[in-house]
Amino acid sequence: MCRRRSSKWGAMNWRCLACLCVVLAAGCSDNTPTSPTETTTTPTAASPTITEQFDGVVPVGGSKFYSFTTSTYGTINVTLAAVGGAFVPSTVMLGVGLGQPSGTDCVTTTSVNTAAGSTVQVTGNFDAAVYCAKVSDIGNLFAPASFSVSIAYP
Amino acid sequence: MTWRYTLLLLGALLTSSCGDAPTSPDTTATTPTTSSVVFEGTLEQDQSRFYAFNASQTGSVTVNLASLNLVGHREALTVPVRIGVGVPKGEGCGETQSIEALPALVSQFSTTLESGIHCVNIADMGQLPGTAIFLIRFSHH
Repeated sequence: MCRRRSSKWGAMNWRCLACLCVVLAAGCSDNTPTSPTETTTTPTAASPTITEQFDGVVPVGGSKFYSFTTSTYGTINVTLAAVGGAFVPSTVMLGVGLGQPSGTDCVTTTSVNTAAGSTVQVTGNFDAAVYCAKVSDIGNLFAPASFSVSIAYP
Repeated sequence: MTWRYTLLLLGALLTSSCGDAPTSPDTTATTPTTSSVVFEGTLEQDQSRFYAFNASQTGSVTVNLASLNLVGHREALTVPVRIGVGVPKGEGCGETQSIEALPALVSQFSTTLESGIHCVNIADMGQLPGTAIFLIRFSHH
């Protein structure tokens, strides 16, 4: 391709030069790293398979909590099913929360103030770990209140 | 000969413009941290108390019952109580390992725990003559 021919000496050399430039430029690899393809997969939350009943008495101004361990990512449901006791109306509102044990307490991340009922009051999807359900007086009690809480988890 | 020099110069320029390969990110060595906790409170007869903690990684936990005395008394009790570690369960601590212990100046109990939430427990074994004040020191990763 690049043989010397006296008559076309100048033109051929410029062609060779141009070809070489193209080849050399093409040889420069693109060293910019490509971003990895991000694949977002949403895990399927397992349904509750275990139900525990947490019965106790909340003192005035106090709280009680109950710990449990979930085995997989899934839905936890907490239901304040009943409240009672002397001088405690069954419709009184208590605090019901879900969190994790820490120190001598249960640190809740989700909570509601609710009266007892049959529908789930606190729910959410959580990874497998140790959790706790907490019942607390929110200032409505004049006497200790007995309660019954249902905790369902995978 | 001029074209040869031009060619060489151009080639050198083009090849030198090829960027370097990407460098690997720096790796930062992480040093395991140890947390020390003081857990104190009152222990009633036939009752237990526990303290929940989150172990950030697998490692050892060491437990020391540093003091145990009746409320209103300064002398150390000479009856043993049970101290142990486990996982919070129900309204207490589901112990997986425990020992009988009297107050001491050194760690009395050590075991390895995986990362996650665990608990240190103290329980009366039926020998407390009354409500006691206790102090437990423990460390974990």
